[in-house]
Amino acid sequence: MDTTQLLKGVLDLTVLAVVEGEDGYGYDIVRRLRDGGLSDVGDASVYGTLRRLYTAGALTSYVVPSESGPHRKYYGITPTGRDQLKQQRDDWSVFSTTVSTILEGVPA
Amino acid sequence: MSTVVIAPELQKFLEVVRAELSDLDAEEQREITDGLVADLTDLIDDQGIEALGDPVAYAAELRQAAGLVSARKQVRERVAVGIRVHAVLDAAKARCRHVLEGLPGDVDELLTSLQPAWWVVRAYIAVQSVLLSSGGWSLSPVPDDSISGALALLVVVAASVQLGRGRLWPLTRWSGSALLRVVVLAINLIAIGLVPAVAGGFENREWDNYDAGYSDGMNEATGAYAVDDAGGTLFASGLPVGNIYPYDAAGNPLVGIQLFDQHGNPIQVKGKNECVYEGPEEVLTDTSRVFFPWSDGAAQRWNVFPLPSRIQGADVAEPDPTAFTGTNRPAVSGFPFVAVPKVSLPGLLTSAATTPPKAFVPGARTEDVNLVESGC
Repeated sequence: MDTTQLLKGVLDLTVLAVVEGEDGYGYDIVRRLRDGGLSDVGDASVYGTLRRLYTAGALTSYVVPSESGPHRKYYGITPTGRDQLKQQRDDWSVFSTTVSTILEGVPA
Repeated sequence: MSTVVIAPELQKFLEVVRAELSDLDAEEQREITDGLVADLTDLIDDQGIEALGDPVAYAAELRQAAGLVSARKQVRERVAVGIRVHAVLDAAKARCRHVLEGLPGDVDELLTSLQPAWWVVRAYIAVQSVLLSSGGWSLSPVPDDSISGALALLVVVAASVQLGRGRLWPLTRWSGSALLRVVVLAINLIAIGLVPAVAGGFENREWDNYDAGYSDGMNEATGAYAVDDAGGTLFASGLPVGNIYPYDAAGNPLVGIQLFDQHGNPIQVKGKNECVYEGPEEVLTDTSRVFFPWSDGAAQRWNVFPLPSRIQGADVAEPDPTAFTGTNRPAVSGFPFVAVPKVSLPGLLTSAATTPPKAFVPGARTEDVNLVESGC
C-alpha cells in the first residue's frame, strides 16, 4: 500500500523521537528516519516538519558553521517537545494496538 | 563531504524553491530555507544531483509539512468564504421572499418598489445621525436648518441611491462581492437601528421650543429682560412694573424723581397702557389709561417718576405729545399710599424736598391695574 498517507500522521512523532535520541540537522534526521525503515519519507516533508515543530516550540535550533561548506542548522528537543512526544507515543501505542486488534479479528 | 561550491543545478533548484515560497513573509522564508543549502548539498553528495527532483513539488511539500498556507490558497479561501456568504444571504433572502409570498396583496413587489424610498430614507437617517452624534440633541427636518445641511443631505441621498442601484463609484469595482453585500446589509441594519434615535431627536426639538419658552419665562421672572427695545420693562416679584411711586424719608409722596442704576443707565418704565373698567359690574370700556414720559426739553424721559397718565381712547396706543396742551391733560395719580412710614439711619441726612399739593392727584386708584401692550 501507499504509505505516504500513513507517514503524514506519524511524521511529527517519529521526527521528535529521532531528535530526542540526538540533536541533528535536516538531512541527518532524514537519513536516520530512512535508516530506521521509513525509506519513503520525503526530505522536504521532514524539513517542513522540523520548521513547524520549531515554530510550535517543540524544538530548538542552532547553527553550526562549517569550514568547508554551508552552515548546518541543528535541531534539539525542548521540554515542550518531550511532553508532546510522550503524549503522541502513548496515543500511537493505543491507536496501533487498537488497529492491530481489529485487523487480527477480521477473517482473512 | 561538503562541497564549498554550490552546484549550479542546486543553485537553480533553490531559486525556484525560493520563488515558490515568495508569498511568505521574509521571516517565514528565511526560517524555512535556512539550512536548506547544507541539507541539499548532503543529499547530492549522497545520491547525486538527480535526487533533487522537481523544485516546485519540493517547495509545495516543504510548505505543506511546515504548515504554511500559501497566499494564493488564502485568496482561494477568501473566494470560498465569499461564496458561502452569498449562499447564506441568498438563503435568508429566499426565506423572506417565501414568507412575503404567503401574504396577500403582493407585499414582496410592494416592498421592492419601495426600495428607492428606503435609499432616500437611510441617507436622511445617516445625515441626521451624524448631526446627533456630533453634539446636537435635537433635530430639524432640514439638517442643521442650513443650506450646507441641505446640500450634505442631497449628496448623501445621491450616494445612497447610487449604492442601492449598485452604481456607486468606486464601489462598482466590488460589485457582486460578498463583502460589499455584507457592508450594505450592515448599513441598512444600522440605519434601521438609528430610527428611534433620530425620531427622539425630533421629539427633543419640541423640548427645545419648550426650553425657549421656559428660558424666556425665567428671564422675565429674573428681570434679565429688564431693558427691551421699547425702553425697558422692569419687573418686581415677577410682575411687570407699570409705574414707580417714590416717597421721601419722611414718608411723603414725591413727584419728578429721576432714577438711574449703578452704571448710570436710566431705570426706565415704559408705562404700559391699562385697560379701564367702569361701572359696578366692571364693564370693559373702549378707553385705556395711557402713560406719558417726562421730558428733558430734548427727549422723552421714561426714568422719571411717577409717570403721569390719562384715560383716553384705546385706539391711540402711543402717548399723544399734544396731550399736555389740551383739556384732558395727563396727571400724576395713583400713589398707593397717602403717606408711608418715616425712614432713617443714624447719622444719615435725607433730602428735604417739598411737593406742592397740585403736583399729583391725591387718593388711591379706583380702577384695577391691568397692563396691556395696546388697546383693550
